[in-house]
Amino acid sequence: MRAAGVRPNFYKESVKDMYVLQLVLSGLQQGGVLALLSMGLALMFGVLRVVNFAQADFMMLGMYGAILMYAAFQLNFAETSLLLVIPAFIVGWLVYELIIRRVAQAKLTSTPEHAQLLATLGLSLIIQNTAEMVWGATPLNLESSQQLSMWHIGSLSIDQPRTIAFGIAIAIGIIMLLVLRGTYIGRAVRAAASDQEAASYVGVNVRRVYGATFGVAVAISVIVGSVLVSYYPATPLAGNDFILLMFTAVILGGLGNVMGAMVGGLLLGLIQSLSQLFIPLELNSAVVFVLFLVMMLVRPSGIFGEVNRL
Amino acid sequence: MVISGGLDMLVVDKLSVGYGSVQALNDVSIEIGPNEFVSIIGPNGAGKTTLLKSISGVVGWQGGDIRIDGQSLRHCAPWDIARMGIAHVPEGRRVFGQMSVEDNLKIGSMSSSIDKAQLQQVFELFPQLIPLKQRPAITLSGGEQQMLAIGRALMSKPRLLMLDEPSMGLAPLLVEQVFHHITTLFRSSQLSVLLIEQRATEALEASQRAYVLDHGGVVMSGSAKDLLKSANIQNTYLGFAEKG
Amino acid sequence: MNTSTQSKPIGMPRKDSDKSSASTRGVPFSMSMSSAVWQLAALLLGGLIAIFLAGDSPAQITVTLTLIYIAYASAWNIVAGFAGQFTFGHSAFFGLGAYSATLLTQWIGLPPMYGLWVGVLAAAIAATVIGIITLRLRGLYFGLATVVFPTVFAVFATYLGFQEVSVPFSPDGGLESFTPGDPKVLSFVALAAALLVCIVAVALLRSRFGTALGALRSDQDAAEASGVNTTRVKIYALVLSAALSAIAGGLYASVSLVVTPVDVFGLQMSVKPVLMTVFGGIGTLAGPVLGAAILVPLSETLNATFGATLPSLSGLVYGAALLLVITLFPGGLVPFILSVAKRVYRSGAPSAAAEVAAGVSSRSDATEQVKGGTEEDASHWMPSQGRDTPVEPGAPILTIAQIAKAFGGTKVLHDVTMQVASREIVGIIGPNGAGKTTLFNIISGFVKPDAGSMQLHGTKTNDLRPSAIAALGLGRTFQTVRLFSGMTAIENVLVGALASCADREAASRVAWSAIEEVGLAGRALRKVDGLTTGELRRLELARAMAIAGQGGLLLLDEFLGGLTKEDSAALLEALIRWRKNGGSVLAIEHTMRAMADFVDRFVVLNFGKVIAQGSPEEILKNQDVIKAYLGDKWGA
Repeated sequence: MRAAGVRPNFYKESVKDMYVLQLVLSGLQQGGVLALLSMGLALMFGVLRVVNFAQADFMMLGMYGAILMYAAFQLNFAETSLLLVIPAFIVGWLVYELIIRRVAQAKLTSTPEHAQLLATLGLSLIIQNTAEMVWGATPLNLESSQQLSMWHIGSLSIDQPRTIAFGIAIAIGIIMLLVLRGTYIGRAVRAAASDQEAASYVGVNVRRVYGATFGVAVAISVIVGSVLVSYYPATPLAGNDFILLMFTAVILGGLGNVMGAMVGGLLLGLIQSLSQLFIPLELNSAVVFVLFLVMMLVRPSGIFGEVNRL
Repeated sequence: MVISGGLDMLVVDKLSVGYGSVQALNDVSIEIGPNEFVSIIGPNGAGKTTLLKSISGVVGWQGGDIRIDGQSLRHCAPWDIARMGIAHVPEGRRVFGQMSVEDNLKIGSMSSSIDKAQLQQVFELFPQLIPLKQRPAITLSGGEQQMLAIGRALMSKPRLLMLDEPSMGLAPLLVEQVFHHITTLFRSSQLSVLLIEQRATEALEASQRAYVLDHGGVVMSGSAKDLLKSANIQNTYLGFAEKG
Repeated sequence: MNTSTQSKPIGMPRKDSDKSSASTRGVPFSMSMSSAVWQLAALLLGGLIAIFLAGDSPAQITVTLTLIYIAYASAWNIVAGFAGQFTFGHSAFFGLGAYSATLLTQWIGLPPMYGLWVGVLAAAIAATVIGIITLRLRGLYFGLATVVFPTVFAVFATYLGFQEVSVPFSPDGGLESFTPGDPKVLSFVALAAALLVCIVAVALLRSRFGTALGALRSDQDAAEASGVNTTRVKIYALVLSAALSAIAGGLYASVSLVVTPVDVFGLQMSVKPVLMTVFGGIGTLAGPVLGAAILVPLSETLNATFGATLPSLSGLVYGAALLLVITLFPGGLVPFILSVAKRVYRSGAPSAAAEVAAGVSSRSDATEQVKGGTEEDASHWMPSQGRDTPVEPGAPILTIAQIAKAFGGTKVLHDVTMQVASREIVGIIGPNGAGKTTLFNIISGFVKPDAGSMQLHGTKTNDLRPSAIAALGLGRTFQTVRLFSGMTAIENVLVGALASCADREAASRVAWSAIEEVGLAGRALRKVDGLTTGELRRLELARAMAIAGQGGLLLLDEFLGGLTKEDSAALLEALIRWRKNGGSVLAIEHTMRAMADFVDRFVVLNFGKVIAQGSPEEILKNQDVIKAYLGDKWGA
């Protein structure tokens, strides 16, 4: 909840504290969404060295998916998420096999990483515009019964969907941590991310790892979308609102560091929220981007550094 | 140590490998049989690493063939070749830096179930790794990383262990240790070992047979003992041998 | 002994006979004048035809837009295609142009034709700042960093209340307002702008700066080692590109009549020139033109026809076009067409038309470029680096004292002290991993030592960047040959020569001398992509010689790798001549064989330490050295 444009009375300390606490909470909540999106991006970069411009667009597809599922089967967003996970995973894997793999050898310029980035850019445009063709540009919302519900604790307002997003972020983060550290698949992913050639020498099917990673990243995006739509209107260009924030979060946490991206996302949500104390609302996205720049220049390896990958 | 069933035969048959306009290997033929220790020595740039990479399927070849137990490895994916029992310890060790020593070994087992006995045996072979179990591999010294890399390869119970310049960058004392370990390993198992080395002495002392590679071709071959006495090797290395 | 330094190559195997004397030839530009003229004429003609065909119909706006995007995409191509620095934030400059023109008209009534140029200035300033901030980042990081700026501008524009700025529309306005009454006028102006950008691009390609750009795009480190101050070049390219983009932006405002942040500073607007250029062919002159000329009318027509029912068809087409290009012909449309044309004209030499389109200089153009001095400079075959004080033989050229370097926890070099004197050939040998290449990287400035000091020609070089060290007279080769692909052999050498020479004529002389020294004059006009390994190594040596200049130091990293006996012999003779002419050589080799006959001294490295120095005979007998290579027990 933002106190739109009204500066609180700082002489009343308790009011100020409450306000700050409110900001912190909403910052964390919004940060949860960012964290999830950024983790997918970081996963893709950490493992495949691909910058996926279309990451947020898959999220947008998840939003529309939730709306459709509700309209057709009265499913709430939790149920939709579960339902959409598998198809999203498959789509992600296909995108890897059909597009990313093909493009990996492309000699577009002296830096081949650009070819993959451009390919995902093209993909992003296709997804966005197809969505616009199919669903039109007018924002769609979930039925109001599904929408913004609040819990009230004292004078704090905590809105449900954002908190749930936060919870999912933490949950997925923990799951990922456990999988990566404790299972063969997790080790295989880390090995492939660390040294693709050496991983092949120990029998890791790097191609499969890459496909699966892409699938997981897309699945995460879709889940985020289906949660997000309960308080954020679905438009074909919804992804664009998040893309720069995502990149900032990933750079903050360290490009390729999934846990770092989670922390980065949460941190970013906090910063965005708390910056309202100091600067006008309209400028707070500028804060984010200035931060992004500063990070790139001072410590491009992120808070944790690229050393602690995955 | 019993590692595995054995290798029948790895045959490299008139292999030719080129990158762009560089011909890295020209008509190279070698073979290695069950429980054999074969070295490939030669000066830098001779094509030794390219040979191993071709066997492992990481580099494609244009002419000739590579067969294991009669089956051609052409068009096989590197991970499938690894799972056929051909373990490759690459040049520069290339351990997975961010993963712990234990995780590096675990991934070597190539499956979700970890053979505890195998792990135990690896630690018996390289007791120096025991106190380092949880350390990230990148913090290990060169010698420790080398042992880890070998241990990682052993976890899959390979039939053929290929080592690319295990002595590279190591101090002489460590080199001795590494070779000692490799020899012990070989003697106590059915394993076949294909060793690539620049350091002719250590390699020839440890192996039974050897090939000398120079400028992409085999210039000499024979029993390790005979080669040790050959003056030509010194010339090849210090560059005075006649080029073919 | 003849002490004058006049030299004719001795016993150099000449592959093709080479009639004209070296120094009277120039170096053909990659963009030949005839090709450039043809392409510009095509643009002019095409534009005029389109304008007249569209007349006063609504289609005229499409023509205007197309021409504006041609300008914009071509401008982007300068920094991304020519310089190889992919930016995804060019709308920052485009938007500055749009806003400047419009706001100035609103506030002080300045007609857009003049307001435009304020935008250009603003963009140039912004680009300088942005460049300084971001250009230390490479590749991906750089691209991502550039995305941020237009967004920040957009946020500020919204905050300052410029959400929707209308272009004041006065139907009676004259030319300086682009005569709103007659839509053709704006098209003409846009055509002029497009031509301007293309002419600038041509001028760039046919300049010293253009050669530096080509080198930078191809291999930044090799360019730096060849004396190109890559940071400066990048910033110049960005500023130029930004200024031109602002012109396009200013004109755009007059077409769209409303300027909003999300439009002119948006991600879509940053992405459009990328799309068009990549589609058409990045790095070529015609690419962005063709890309815009195809995609803009296509998308506008789609919008017009299907706009009601399928509004996003144009965006879809853009995305599909991009994806198609990347997967099928990543070079873009223009190179694809050319390669098809080459296959059609199977006789081998591509048709003149096809070559023209690519801006490739055909062989006949080489003679056209005869520049250079009238007489070969007889006293020196390589002009000196402006070092007028002659160096006595034996005086130290390169001094290294107590150099140490560690990477992470591993110490790679310990206390390395050595020197190379004038007219000396020194060989550095040692087993793999001994630290030889690291030492080279430190000497040439790519790696900073942890301790110790270095001096080259009397100047301390510890803190100098590689291009500055190169300019002092140090030319190096790399372990794997790093030449500039896409450029001809002679151009490659020219890049090096430009490190020391004031103008292209002098540099051409140097370049031809160098390429003759290594016996490649006959292949000089070939693109390097078509040369054999041996030829590539020889060419890299020629470039190093051109960089170092007379009396300079060559740093050769295993330059004999992959050479036949004849080639090696010829190169070694060239090095002996180099020494005779006052130069020195420091060469890394693995084996002593080839070098033993002519080096003055060997320095043996093992485990980062110098374990022996001396003549070849001494080294051969040195037990430490033998052990280092073959093992401790060899010969025991």
